[in-house]
Amino acid sequence: MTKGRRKQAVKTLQSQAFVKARAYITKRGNVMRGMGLYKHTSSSAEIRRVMPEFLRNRVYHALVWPDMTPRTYNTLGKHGIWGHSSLENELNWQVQSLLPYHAELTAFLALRARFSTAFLLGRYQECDSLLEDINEAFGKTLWGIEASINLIQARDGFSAQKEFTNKVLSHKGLNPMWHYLVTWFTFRAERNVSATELARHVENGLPLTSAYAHLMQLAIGLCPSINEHTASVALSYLSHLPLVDRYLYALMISQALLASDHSAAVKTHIAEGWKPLDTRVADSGITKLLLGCNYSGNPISSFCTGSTVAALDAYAEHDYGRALSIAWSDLSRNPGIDALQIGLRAESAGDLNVSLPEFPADAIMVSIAADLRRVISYADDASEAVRRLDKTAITWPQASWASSLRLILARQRRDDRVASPSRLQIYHALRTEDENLNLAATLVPLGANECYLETFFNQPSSSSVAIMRSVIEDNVSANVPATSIARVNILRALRAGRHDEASIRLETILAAPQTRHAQLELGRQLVTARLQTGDLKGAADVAAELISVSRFAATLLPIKELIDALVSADLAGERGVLAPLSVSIVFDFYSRNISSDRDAERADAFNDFLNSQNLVYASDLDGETSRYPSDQVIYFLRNVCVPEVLDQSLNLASTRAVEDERAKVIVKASDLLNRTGKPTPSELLEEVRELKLKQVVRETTLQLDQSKVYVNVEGIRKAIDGQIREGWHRFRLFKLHEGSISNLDELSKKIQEMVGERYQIIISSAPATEKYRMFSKMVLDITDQFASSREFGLDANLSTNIRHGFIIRALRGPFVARNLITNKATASGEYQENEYWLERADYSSSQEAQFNQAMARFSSEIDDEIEALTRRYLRIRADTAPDGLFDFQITDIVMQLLIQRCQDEEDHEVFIDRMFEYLWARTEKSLEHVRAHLSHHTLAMMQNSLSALASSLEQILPPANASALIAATNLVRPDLQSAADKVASWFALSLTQDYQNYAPQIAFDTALATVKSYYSRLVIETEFDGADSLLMAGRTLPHVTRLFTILFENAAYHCGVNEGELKIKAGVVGDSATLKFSLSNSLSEEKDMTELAKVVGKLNAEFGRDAQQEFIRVEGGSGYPKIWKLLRHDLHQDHALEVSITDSNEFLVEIAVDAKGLLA
Amino acid sequence: MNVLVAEDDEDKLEQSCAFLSRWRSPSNIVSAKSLQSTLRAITEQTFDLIILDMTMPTFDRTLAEEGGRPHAFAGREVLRQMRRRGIETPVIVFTSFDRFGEESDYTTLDQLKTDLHANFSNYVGTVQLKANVDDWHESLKEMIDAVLEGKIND
Repeated sequence: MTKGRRKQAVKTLQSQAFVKARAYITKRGNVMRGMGLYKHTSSSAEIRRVMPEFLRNRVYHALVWPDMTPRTYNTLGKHGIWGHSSLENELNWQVQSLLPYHAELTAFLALRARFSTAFLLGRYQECDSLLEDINEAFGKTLWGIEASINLIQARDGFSAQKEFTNKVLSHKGLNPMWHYLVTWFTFRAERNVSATELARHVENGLPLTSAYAHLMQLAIGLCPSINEHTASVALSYLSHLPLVDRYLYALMISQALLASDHSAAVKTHIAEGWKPLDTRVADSGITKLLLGCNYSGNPISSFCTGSTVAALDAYAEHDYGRALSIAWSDLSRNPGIDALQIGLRAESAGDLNVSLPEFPADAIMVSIAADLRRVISYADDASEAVRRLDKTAITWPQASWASSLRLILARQRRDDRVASPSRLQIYHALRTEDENLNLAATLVPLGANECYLETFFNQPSSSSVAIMRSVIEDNVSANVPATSIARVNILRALRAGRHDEASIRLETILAAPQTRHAQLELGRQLVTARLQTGDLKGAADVAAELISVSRFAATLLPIKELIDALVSADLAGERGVLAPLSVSIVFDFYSRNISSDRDAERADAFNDFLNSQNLVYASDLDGETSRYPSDQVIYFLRNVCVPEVLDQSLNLASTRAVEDERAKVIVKASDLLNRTGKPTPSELLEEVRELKLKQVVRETTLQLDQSKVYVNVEGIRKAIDGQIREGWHRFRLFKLHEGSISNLDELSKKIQEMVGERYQIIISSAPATEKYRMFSKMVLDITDQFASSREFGLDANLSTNIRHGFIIRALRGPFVARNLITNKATASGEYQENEYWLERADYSSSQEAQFNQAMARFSSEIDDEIEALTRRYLRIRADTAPDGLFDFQITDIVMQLLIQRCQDEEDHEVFIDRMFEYLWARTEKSLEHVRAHLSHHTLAMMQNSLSALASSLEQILPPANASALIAATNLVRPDLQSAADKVASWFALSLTQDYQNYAPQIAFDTALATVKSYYSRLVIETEFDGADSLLMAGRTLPHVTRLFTILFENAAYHCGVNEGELKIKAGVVGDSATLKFSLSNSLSEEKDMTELAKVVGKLNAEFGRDAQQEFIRVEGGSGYPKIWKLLRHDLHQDHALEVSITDSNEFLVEIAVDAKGLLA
Repeated sequence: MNVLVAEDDEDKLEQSCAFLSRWRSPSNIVSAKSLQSTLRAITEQTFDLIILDMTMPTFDRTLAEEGGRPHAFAGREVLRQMRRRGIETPVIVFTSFDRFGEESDYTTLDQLKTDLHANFSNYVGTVQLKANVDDWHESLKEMIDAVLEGKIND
């Protein structure tokens, strides 16, 4: 057959196939459906034959390409052929539909490459112009939208990016599938969305339950595992897309499939599908894909350019300066990530310090280079650099430079020269920008060495190729430089799984001094080798060493595997396996960087280490330091011996003991650091300061809690002295008259002695009841002052120190913390719904009603109980408070006894002392009653209410909804018990406390700790400004602390914020003449400022007035009368107070106090 | 019979001790109210039985001691330490909860029971105290019977 006839025959054959296909399609009634069915039922060979015919036919072309270059977003992704076929058919269908447009695709790829270069170099105007060109030639594309979003975000920020995206999304015709993808593009571009966060959101929002989700994940930048079926369905979705996107996504799906499934069938399908485009489209992505399928059609001479090999050879020969120079030279011509990497590796390995080639200051290449340098040199801040690079790379999943970057980062974690590459590594190796020798190792699992590697191995003079060949083929080939043989043998042994041999070789090489870079690289390999041989201590020793040198290098170690092996050995009873110091360090590193799931074993390791050293306390470790590297001992002290580990030592039996030990440990670590010539880090000094402050605050709180029951007896004494003296003299006169009425002269003398004047005595024979009345009056006056003086008495102090907010907050606190109780709504007076628990479960309407009822009843029971305690029981017993537990009522018999006890005392002061003794005894008895009431009544009632609530909830709610809530009712019980114990402890006679002089911040922090414990749903942020030189007199501590407590309490209660942040700024400044206390707090935005302004005016007008003082013994309200009492009567100071609203809408209290006597 | 009751809830502690005294009259009941005091007790004394709460603070609470860190799985930690130290005293977990931990370490009671059975040979079982059901006495009695009958009769 002649050439012409053969051509005619082929044409006829194709035409017949086309006619047959057309007949099949039109028979289906609907051509779209018909096309889908045809794609499904025909053979791939038939598709290859017929597709050109389809594309030549105007009608069928419109079906295959609904809009190849859409002019508006409305038509992007419209129409398309529904239904999917086999992988083979789908690949052939898509590739064949692209085939006639190979020239356009090549043109697009060239423009895209220019765009990438311009973007990396920060030439944003050029980027705009290129995007316009691409838009003009190829219409609206997903690639164009994605590139624009990323460009605008990088150049103009989020608002501009959002504006652009909203404009795109506002086009109603945009296919919903791709509309959704664009929303991910915009989210991903946001500066604050890290790669990890993006992946988490994508995995939650797009679980891999469909081919669509797989495609979306790929498009967003993740690398899901994808099988043949999923790939074929994903490919079928591409028939909606325009030319450029169909090509890019078809290639991406194929690469992801090959990375996931290296089977011969998949390789054959991919190779057969893509072959026709290989020689027509200038894209190394297709060539590499085909090489991965063991098909070498396109010559790969352009791979691994001469200069790249030369740079790698120089590196292999340890001529790092030359390697760097070649790489930098490459880089200045073309901003490639691989050249950058080679240069940076040479710089780090050779310990060189060379500037990067000049790039524009705002070019993204500058930040990539800076971060990659951190990563490659194992800098301390490399982990943050990795996060930034990951973010950059994942944002550009269609850019080959981004794949290069991701591959470099992945290799840093998993060296594919010695371990099988991950799916992600293979995927990005297939998409990477430049051809690098290292790809040889990455593509080995695909069997690509048959053709891909040959290109490199055919360069016999290259030392780097010789090294790679030796490693992959496990024999030392010629051209491996002598200086590299040792390392090559290590890599060979590791790759072949000869870990014993690798360990020995690594130990030998590490015995000689190495650069930091080599030490870290080889150390990483030694940890792996020792772990594989079961030498866990050896692996931990090297790991601990690396942790000390570079935390980042340590994050790349197989720490989890090591930890798992150590735990298994310990569980198997291998004695002492956790005892080495290095093991504690490794556990700690794992806990801080990977997971907290082995924290218990971290504490075991800590305890085992101390036991192995015969030490009780870690702070005793100093004498042992010579046995361990000092940096490891310092690490151990600083990081392992932290409170959450120390508290698991049975030698430390309290929080206080743990804190003391931590403080000692820090001092020890500091000493060791100083001995090695390093200063103590400021965070350690700060930690000690905070520990000490915490302890002082806790102790002060305890002291103050136990001095709440207080009577200012000196104040009372002064107040009543004159009155009682007079009364006592008169009483004594009666007494004398009664005892020696016959001796008037003697009586006269005695009176003269007492009052200094001589009186004439007239006997009028006063009745005995008068003497009793006089004595009773004095007793009752003193008792009244003791119990009820608004300035000095017990009731005023009970009100100020206990009843005013303290009891209710302390007893309600545990319920508030567990969200079991709500407040009443101001308007309705009804308890608010418990939104916390309502939000956490689905209730039916009847369940919700019953739930609300049960919770409101519980809140009411608790509040009623507290109300009864404060309003009925914690009162001075009187007609108005018949249940008051502070009983100072004096019966006739008691009065007679008092007369008998006191009547012989001549001095009225002794009488007053006796009375105070008696009243303290009565107080003590009352306090016993209060404590008993709290334990036997209040606590019991609350526990009963809890049980009733739990019982109701179990009946009302299904178990799944009730579970967490019931748990809360159980968890609260010990907290309630503690709260009740604490409140009971307040009801004890105050011990004579000897308070040390103190800095004002102690009072501030003590008050803050108390109020924070009451308002657990508020996040109270504080700032304190106190003059360093101020030292307050110890005796003032309780009063100043109470002053701050009332101010904090006011801030927390009246700020208008129920849950969330409350900012408080406080200060104490002044000199020996005047002290100024100030406290300002933020207010809810919903606060009625007009109303507040009225309150401010009222407070300023009324503060300290007589009418206000009536409220000292009354709870509720602002607490300002109590502040007045504290300042005026407890601290005895002249003062002035002013409240105001600041310009920034904060509530401000300023108090000026006469400093006399307040300062130490 | 020497029994350790580890429980931080005073009310529950009283209930379980009273129940034990009434029913078995053990020669000695030791109580512990935290993870630390429980661990100290098991390392310092030998017990025939341990009644163990699952959720406890690190230290015994007092007025001066707030208890340190709360441990949602204090009971499991006690069992783990017993296993490490080769202490094989039978342990009955006595809890009011049907769920433990939060978020990443969240575990239901059933999952926890499975975990304890799988990992600790001296774990006997769990008795749950519920607010509206009063059958824990029977459950606890049966469980103790099953473990100690022979030993006590001796």
